[in-house]
Formats: sequence, C-alpha cells, structure tokens
Amino acid sequence: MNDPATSTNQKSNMITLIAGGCLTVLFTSLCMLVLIVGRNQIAVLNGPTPTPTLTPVPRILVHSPSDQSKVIHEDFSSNKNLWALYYDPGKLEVVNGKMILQSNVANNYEIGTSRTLAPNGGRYYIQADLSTDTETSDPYGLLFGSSRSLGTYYMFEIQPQRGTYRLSKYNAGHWKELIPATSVELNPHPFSNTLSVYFDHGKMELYINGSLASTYTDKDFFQSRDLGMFVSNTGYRLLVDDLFLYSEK
Amino acid sequence: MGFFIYAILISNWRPGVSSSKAICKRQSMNTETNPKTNYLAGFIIGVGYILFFCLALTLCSTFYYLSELQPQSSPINTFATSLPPTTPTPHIVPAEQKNADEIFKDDFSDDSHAWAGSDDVSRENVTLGKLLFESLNKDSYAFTGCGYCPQLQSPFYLQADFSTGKATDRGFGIYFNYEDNQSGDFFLFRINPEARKYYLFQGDKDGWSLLAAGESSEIKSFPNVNTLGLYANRDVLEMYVNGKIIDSYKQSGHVFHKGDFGFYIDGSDAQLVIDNLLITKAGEK
Repeated sequence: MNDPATSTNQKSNMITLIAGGCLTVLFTSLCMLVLIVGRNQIAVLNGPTPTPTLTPVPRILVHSPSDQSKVIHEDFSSNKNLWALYYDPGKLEVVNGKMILQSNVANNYEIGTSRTLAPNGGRYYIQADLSTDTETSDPYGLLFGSSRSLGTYYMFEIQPQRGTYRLSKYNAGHWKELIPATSVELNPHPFSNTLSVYFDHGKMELYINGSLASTYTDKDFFQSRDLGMFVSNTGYRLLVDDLFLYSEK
Repeated sequence: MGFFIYAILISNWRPGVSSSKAICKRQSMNTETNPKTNYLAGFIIGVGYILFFCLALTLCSTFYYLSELQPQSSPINTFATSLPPTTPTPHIVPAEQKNADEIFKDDFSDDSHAWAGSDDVSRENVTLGKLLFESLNKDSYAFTGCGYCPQLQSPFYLQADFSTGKATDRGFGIYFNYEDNQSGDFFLFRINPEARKYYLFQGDKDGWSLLAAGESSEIKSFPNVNTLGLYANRDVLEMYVNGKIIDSYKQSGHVFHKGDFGFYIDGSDAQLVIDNLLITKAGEK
C-alpha cells in the first residue's frame, strides 16, 4: 500500500522537479536574451553616429523673375564678392564652396555681408540655402534691406529646432517684430533650409523651402538694399550656399 | 509558471508545518526520505527564482537606461567635417623658428633694407637696433615697407616684436600678401593691446573687409612687448601672439603666402617700436 506520507513526498518531489526545470528554462532564456540584446546594444554604442543621407536640393529659383532680369548666382567658390563681417567679434570664411559665419561672443549677433553683391532696384529677390555645422536652438537667417551706414535691416530668421520663423526690422538700435515667431515645417539639422525673400517696395513675400510662408507689407520700408546672413550666438557655424539674387526693373 | 508551481509547492507542502505528521512518522519509522533534503531543494529553487527576478530586473533596467535615457548623439552635417576646426591647431612652434630655414631677417642694426612709407603720412627711423614707425596724421593709418626685402613666394612664418612708446587703444600690426597690382589687395593682422583684441582685415583700393576678430588673453597691454606671428601656407593662415596661436583663417582658392609685407599703425597716438623681424620657411607637416 502506498503510504500517504510517501505519496505526498513524491508529489512534492515532482513539484520541486518541475519548478527547478522551469527555473532552468527561465535562466537559459534570460542568458540567450542577454546575448542577443547585448550584442546589438554594443554594436549601437560602438558604431559610428548615424548620419542621414543628404538629399541633393535642386538648385533652382523658388521665385523666377517676371522680366529678363539677370539672375546672379553666388556659389562661394571664392571670396570674389568680398564677404565680410558686420560686427567685430566673429569670423567669416569662404571654404569649399560655402560661406562659414560664426559669432565669437556669446549671445551676440554676427552678420556677414557682401561688399559687392546687392540688388540695384526697389523690387528684388534673394534666396540662399542655410544650414549649421552643429545642431542649435539659436535663430539664424537672411538679412535684407540693409544699410551699414544707417544701421538698418530686415531680419528673416528661422529656428529649425523649434520649427519657427520670424521677421523683424532693425532701425538704428530699435527692433520691431513684423511677423512674430510662427510655426512652419523646417528641415531638421543637418539638412539645409532654403530661405527666399521677394521684396517689392515694402511688400515682402517670405518663402521657406519653396513654399510661401508669409507676406508682409511695410509702408515705411527701407530703401537700402544690402543683403547678408546672420547668426545670433556662439557654439555653431552657419553654412551658406547657393545664393541667388536678381533685381527687377 | 515555474514560480507559480513553486508557490503551490510552498503553500501545500511545508516540511515543518503541514506535513509534520508524516515527517514525525517518517522519522519514527526511520525511512530513507530526508525532509531536510526536500526543504533544501525547495529553498535552493526559491533562492533561484529570487535571483532570476533580480537579474531580470537589473538587466531590464540597464537595457532601458542604455536605450532610452542615454543622450542621443545628434546627426552630423557631413560638410562640417571638412571645415577647419573651431579650435585652431598650430602648424608650427614659434619658439623653434629660430632654427628653421631663414627667408629674411632684420635686427634693425642699420637701415640697410630701406624701411619707408609715404613721406606725408608716416615717419620711419631705424635707430638703436629698432625700427621706429609712426603715423603723422592723428586720424589716419600708415603703412611702412622695406625697399630691399624679398617678395615672399613660398609658405612662411613671419614674426616681429612690437611695442609702443605709450599706451594706446589704436591698433598696429603686420600687412602681408600685398600684390602691387590694380586691385592693391592685401591682408592685415592687427592687434589693439589695451582692448586685447585682434583683427584680420582684407584691404583693397576700394575699402576694407573685416574677416575675423576676437579677444585674446595672450595680447599684453602697455608697456609689454607683443610678438606677433603669422603662418601663411596656401589658403591657410594662422595668427600667433607671444608664441601662442590665437586664431586661424581659411579662404579656399586664395594663396596667402605670396606678396609683399610690412607694418601698419593706426593714428598718431603712439610711436610703434619694431624689432627682431624674422621670416622662415614653413612647409606642411
């Protein structure tokens, strides 16, 4: 006859055995999981920083001239157009087909302007591709309607990290926000964003990556026509390429 | 699942409690089954499960930390990798240039190299082993060059010692890469010792372009002597003050190492004292 105590003992032995078997399976699974996941994780940590493939941007005009106006293309193959700094703490270089602009003082604007390139009429168009060497939350952008002697300009800025653009007017120490920071779809770093401005005697059309972002009419507009690019802080360099410019009669 | 089986095992069979009668009986009958062995096996499995859950929790936490909480590196602009570094790397050691191949040297023991500027703008005087140079116009700058200095044709390192007769916030420095042609292009490396600022300008007959500017603690104020150095090699330029590089500059397609050189002073506030001009060959390392 089976002793009930022996039966209970056998039953408990069986349960112990099953529990032990399950534990072995669990440990084996855990080890395998660690091996598979760990190998992938090491590959990710040791691997090179993923760099997105840059899709070539078509070098075309977003806004074509309505007449036979000559379109000037600055490809920054050299500094033949005498690009220079507007303020003194900074650096402007023309390297490998791009203009490189940086500020040397924290929270200080730096502007790069050309001594020879400027529209010659009250109706003109400017377009440039802008990107940065490192990701930044600081704004940068295009400058137009500028006069160094008068200390005036319009500033068309973007903040790719926040996805906003803004239009401001600077008049000898006084700022006026013409278009407040507005959300827009911008290419993230490291892709470039094409900013364009069509200016017609104070009536401005602002384009971002080929799409009309906004229009604004400044009744008290600047007659000056110098152009440039700007950065607003240290810690990054602005890369400018393919500047297009024309003036309509 | 195993854990649940083990939980059942624990709840239904506990050697010292629920099966105490059987144990007592087995003990009394002196059977072969040892409850201590069962207890030990159960204990080991229990510890195994606890260990498993601790391990699993640790590994999950580690994985989550590595995959989610680590700062993600931002994408790189591939073009930016070809740019000059933001912190300039010196191509030469100024202190070692005294042993380098010499292109030109002037210790100003006499005026055999004929230092001169424009008569109505500046005054030059080589005396006591130094070149004394001043602008005659309070609001105007002046240049001086030497009549018998070589025109530079190959990569070079140029340095000279500068001091002023009194403290001034007007600048002085070295012009170079001057091509005596229609455009009259040149570059100018200038410092303002009191403000401890430096500037790199490009000049031509139509005006000046500021290309680089900043502050450097290497620049010493009056009455200290500042040794300015310039390394020019093809499209690369490096600016040195007192043996330390303070900035570099690159302009694709331009050749910085060709042309004439000389000195510059802004305004007539102070007389510039120049000494130990040395130009050496500087090739790429």
